[in-house]
Amino acid sequence: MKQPLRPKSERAKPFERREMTFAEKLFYPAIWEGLKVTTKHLVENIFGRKHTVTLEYPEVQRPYPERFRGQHRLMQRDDGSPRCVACMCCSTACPSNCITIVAGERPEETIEKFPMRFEIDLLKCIYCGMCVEACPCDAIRMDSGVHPKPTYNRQAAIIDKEGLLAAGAKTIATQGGTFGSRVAGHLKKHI
Amino acid sequence: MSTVTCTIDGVSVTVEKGTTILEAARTVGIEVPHFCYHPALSIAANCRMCLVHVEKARNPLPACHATVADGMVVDTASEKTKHLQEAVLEFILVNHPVDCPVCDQAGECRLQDYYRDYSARPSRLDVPKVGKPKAKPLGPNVILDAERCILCTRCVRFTEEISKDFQLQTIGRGNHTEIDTFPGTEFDSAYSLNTVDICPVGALTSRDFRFKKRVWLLSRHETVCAGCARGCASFVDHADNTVYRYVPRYNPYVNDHWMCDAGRLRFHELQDHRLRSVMNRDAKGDAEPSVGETLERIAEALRLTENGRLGILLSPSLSNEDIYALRRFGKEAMGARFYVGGRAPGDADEILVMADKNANRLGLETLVSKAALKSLDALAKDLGSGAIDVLLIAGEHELSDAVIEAIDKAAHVVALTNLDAPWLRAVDRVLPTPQTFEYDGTYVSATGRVQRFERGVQPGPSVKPAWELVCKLAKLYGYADLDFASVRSIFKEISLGEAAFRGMNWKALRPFGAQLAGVAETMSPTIHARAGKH
Ligand code: SF4
Ligand code: SF4
Ligand code: SF4
Ligand code: SF4
Ligand code: FES
Repeated sequence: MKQPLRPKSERAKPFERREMTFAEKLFYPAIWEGLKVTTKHLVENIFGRKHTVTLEYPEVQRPYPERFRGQHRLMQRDDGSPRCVACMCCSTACPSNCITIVAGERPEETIEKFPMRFEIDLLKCIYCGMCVEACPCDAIRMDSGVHPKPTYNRQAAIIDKEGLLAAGAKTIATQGGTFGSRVAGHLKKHI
Repeated sequence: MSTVTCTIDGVSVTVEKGTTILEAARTVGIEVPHFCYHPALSIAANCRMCLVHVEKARNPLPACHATVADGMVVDTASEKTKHLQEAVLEFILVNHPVDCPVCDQAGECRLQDYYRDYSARPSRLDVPKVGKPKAKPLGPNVILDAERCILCTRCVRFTEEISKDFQLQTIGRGNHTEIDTFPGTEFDSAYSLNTVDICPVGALTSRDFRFKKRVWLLSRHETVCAGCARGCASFVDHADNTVYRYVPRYNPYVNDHWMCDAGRLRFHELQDHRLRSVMNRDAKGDAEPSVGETLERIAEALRLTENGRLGILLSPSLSNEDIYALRRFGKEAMGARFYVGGRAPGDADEILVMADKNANRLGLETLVSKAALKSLDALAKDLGSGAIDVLLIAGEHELSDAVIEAIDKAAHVVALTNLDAPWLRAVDRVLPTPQTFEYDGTYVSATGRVQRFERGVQPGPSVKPAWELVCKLAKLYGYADLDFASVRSIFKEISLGEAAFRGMNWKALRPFGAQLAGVAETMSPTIHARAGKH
């Protein structure tokens, strides 16, 4: 489809090419300028290291930004079982379809559904965090800050329930959420 | 019948006298939210979700119960009515566990939907909720979560009015009311799973489907249950190329809103015992013989067969298109003799289940005349006397040992079938065919309803419908006349050439099918049972 023409003020201005001067056509001054910068950095890096921008990875590592998510983990209930109830909200929300959950039934427990299998294929994962957003039970988190490690084969890049749980911890968030301030404000209208 | 005219949300509606506000609103596309109302059950008016304001009425009226009167002005959407809906939802949710993450109904739950549409308010409750039994088996197929139940009594009314076995009741009072079976009995009705469908929330769940799949991940296709000659209209719900459940589809001429548990769960058997690969007795090596190569061998054998020495054993479980292709090839190219087998008869009841367990007997008897279809005894006799050289068995059959022995003696036996069965040991070549939910076609129910079913899941690469195999076989054999490209083209030819099917249109078979000419149109037996009520 043809795009409608933008208003004149928004259109790109035509660019007039300027003729190069004689000095510019020679190129040598420009090469000399470049070499000067490179040599300056070389000397500075050998003596003084004042303005060095590179790090000696992996001995020295740049700290990750605060909001870096890192690898997933599965949170635990008080008894160490996963908080996950296999509701499939995360796997439904996942844009790269990399979460595999097989639900099972535990008739002896009050919360009767649990994940028999819970696997995340980290090769497919794009670390978007949608799964965390979707989870109604605070069961999956991406706050480990752990950068996924390279593996020798594809299978090793799939983390299973045990691996995810081992990285997790007990959480005190109440199932079903809390009675927050937003709620109270809303109630004023109705009471 | 006299009519009345009223105004609903500013729209003038004219309906028959005695119509309820809810149904009148439906005729103009206004949906009044409701839980306990079900079009096929009596009106209980206990949930109050459908309350609407009516001008000049002192109190709000339940739309499912109040009938319209001339000049009535109903309001289903104003702020005032919205306030009612919010309040009712709040009441219903007082003791509701809001189990949605573990609740199988989530995604198709009326309570969830209405909460989003009509309330979306946080709970104001600060006392503990009343606890009730969770995951309590009521019977072999149904599990109750009493906390989720909103006591609409749809399930109770179903067992009283449709399945008529009075197996459920409400016990207790007030907050402590629960649905339960009578002491010492269990909910073992042959129709128990229908209560799972009509339960507006996740209180009743199917033991079979429980936790298998989230409903929003399922794809849905229209199909017909091939469990008996009733041919209940249903949906096949599937995901990842696997069938997860069957759900009845409303068809007033066949099954109303219902289907039996056995038919609903039959897909397990069809999925687990299905044939997937071609079998060729004289194949060399371990590799699976190809369909083409096997058809080539069959065509070779047929070319050496004299006219009239081919026998075709048809199953009344084949689709009309399969039968038609087989009939045309058999009759026109080979002068074949036709026999009829099929699944053995079973139990019947007064509701839907029929004794004949074949989905398409009427179709078979219409397309290949009843007189031309000989019995299994005649087949055994003809095989014994050597009147048949090649036997082609199509569709599902249950054969006695005597017949299997007789078949074993035939020089060349070919089967186009879908299920593993004992008689396959007497067969030389097997070409697998799809199950009902794996291909397109039509069946004629015992009451003469022609219904279409469509493909839900993909069968394996070697699985081809019988009509397609027959067309290919005809080509290899050298009979070029039989050259159908699709089921639709076969059905078109049937509707042009066969008197009983005349005038039917493939597209117009949706949603309720068409009636076979010469068979009187009947309604579902459950509708007869409820006629004259309220
Ligand atoms: S981070 Fe995104 S891609 Fe990775 S599992 Fe979660 S939802 Fe899927
Ligand atoms: S969204 Fe949360 S509770 Fe649901 S399956 Fe995923 S991790 Fe489990
Ligand atoms: S019945 Fe509906 S609202 Fe209640 S827990 Fe189940 S899905 Fe949620
Ligand atoms: S179990 Fe379901 S259908 Fe029966 S009364 Fe409760 S909510 Fe209604
Ligand atoms: S639908 Fe009218 S009261 Fe329940």
